[in-house]
Amino acid sequence: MTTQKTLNSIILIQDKKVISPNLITIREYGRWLQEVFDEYTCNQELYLTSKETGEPVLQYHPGTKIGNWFDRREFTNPHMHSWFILQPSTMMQWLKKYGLAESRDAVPLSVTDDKGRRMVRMYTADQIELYIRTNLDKQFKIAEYLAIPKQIKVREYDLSKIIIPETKKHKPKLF
Amino acid sequence: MNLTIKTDKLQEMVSRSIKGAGNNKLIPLTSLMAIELKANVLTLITTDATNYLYIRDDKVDGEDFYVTVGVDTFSKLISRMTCERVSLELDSNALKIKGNGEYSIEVPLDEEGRLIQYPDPLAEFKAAEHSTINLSTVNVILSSLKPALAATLEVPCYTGYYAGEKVVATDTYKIASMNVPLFETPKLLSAEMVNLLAVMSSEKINVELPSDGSNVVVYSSPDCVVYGVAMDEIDDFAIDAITGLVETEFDSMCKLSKAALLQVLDRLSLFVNIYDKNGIYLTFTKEGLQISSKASSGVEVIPYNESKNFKDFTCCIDIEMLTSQVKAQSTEMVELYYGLENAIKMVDGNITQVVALLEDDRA
Repeated sequence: MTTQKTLNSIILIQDKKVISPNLITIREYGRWLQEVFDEYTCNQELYLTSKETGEPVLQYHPGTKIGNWFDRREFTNPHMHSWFILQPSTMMQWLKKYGLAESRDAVPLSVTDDKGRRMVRMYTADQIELYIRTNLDKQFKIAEYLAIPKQIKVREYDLSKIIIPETKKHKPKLF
Repeated sequence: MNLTIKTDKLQEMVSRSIKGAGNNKLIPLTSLMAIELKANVLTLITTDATNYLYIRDDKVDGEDFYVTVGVDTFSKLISRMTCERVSLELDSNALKIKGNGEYSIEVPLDEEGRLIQYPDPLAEFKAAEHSTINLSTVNVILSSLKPALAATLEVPCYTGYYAGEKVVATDTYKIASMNVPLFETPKLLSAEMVNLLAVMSSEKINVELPSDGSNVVVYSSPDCVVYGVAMDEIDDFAIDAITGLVETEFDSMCKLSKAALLQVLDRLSLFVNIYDKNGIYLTFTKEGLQISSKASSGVEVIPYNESKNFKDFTCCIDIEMLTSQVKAQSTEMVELYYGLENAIKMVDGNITQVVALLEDDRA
């Protein structure tokens, strides 16, 4: 199985056939896994079989977990025209809406960069949810590293259930 | 516990009730329906985890009855019944449906093995303010404003309708604004909440706001109640900027047949290729509006039905955005305003649409 990167997303290809829609967040990836694979394989991770990622900065060895692509990838979309800082109340509304937190829970918005400096980053709601999913949701816990990819059996899936953010490159906004 | 009801009545209630079920796999409650018969009032309750839909009938015979059942199998079975009357009976952990034969649906239990009690937020609701809105207004919102809503979550507030002294939908690339006041204190209504209002059966819909100042809004008609929660992000909604754009004066105006315009856009869409990024050219000429593909592989002219303050003008616009807004118009004639570099405007009675123009790479 090989992967190919399209803008800020990935698609999965098996035997030269595209088997997934554009996947931008690990939430979409996990949801797609649930839709497509059976209960046993759903808890495994898919693996890259080659270095063909299409971008020189992304050098992954065969056997690298596809989930890593999301961990190391810059979450910000350089084509987004607007940024906003989520206030705690807005963030909590999102977490409650997705059933990820109760009112008493709190998640920090500050992060540490590569040099160990603490800084406040601006995140969209999707990125916050991605962060929460990665750290709290055990169902999508990354499996242990294996050198040989597992055989994956694919069944039919309904693409309409997967939310794929639209890319609005080159479109000027009204405000 | 059992109840008996005319099949067509139950089918009608269930077909309305399932519109309130969110069927979100992450939240099991949204795939369940509560069925309650109390003092001859039958209520079906469904939810999308934010809004609750209550469908009621107050003339149903039977003993008091309560069960929570999976929406999918139950609704499909009821829709396929052909008998005159159907009876529902709770038998240990299964709901028995008798009519055309006898069917049994296992009911879900909670962690302690008890029948699930559906949340009933309406029971604790205390109304402080009362008003009304018309079902016809809701239908106009759904037909004419909904196409302008944001479909993605880049800026979440634009996935909802701003409802204050006017109703506004926008995704920052197009705006649809209707001059009908709905709330004195503006509210941001989610698309899901407004969709549910279409289930109401009477023209006048009662609206109640709570005494605690929360975002709850309760809509009701004689046989239906929607307990909704308005969105929090209303402060992010750039209503002042949007109002400014909607009220912007344009120099020139023309009127075109909506049907002719849609047909041209439909034909031209075949000649918009992937590198055009959905862009087509509009050129206002003395004879009419010329619409062409970027590669000049398709061009048509639509004559004006009316033209005021004509001026030569050309621009580039997204064909899908323009088509969706023209389709949302209710009249046969499109009143189109042009002349500004960043947008065009269309007016349909008390609804104003603004559509952003693309960068014109011919300049």
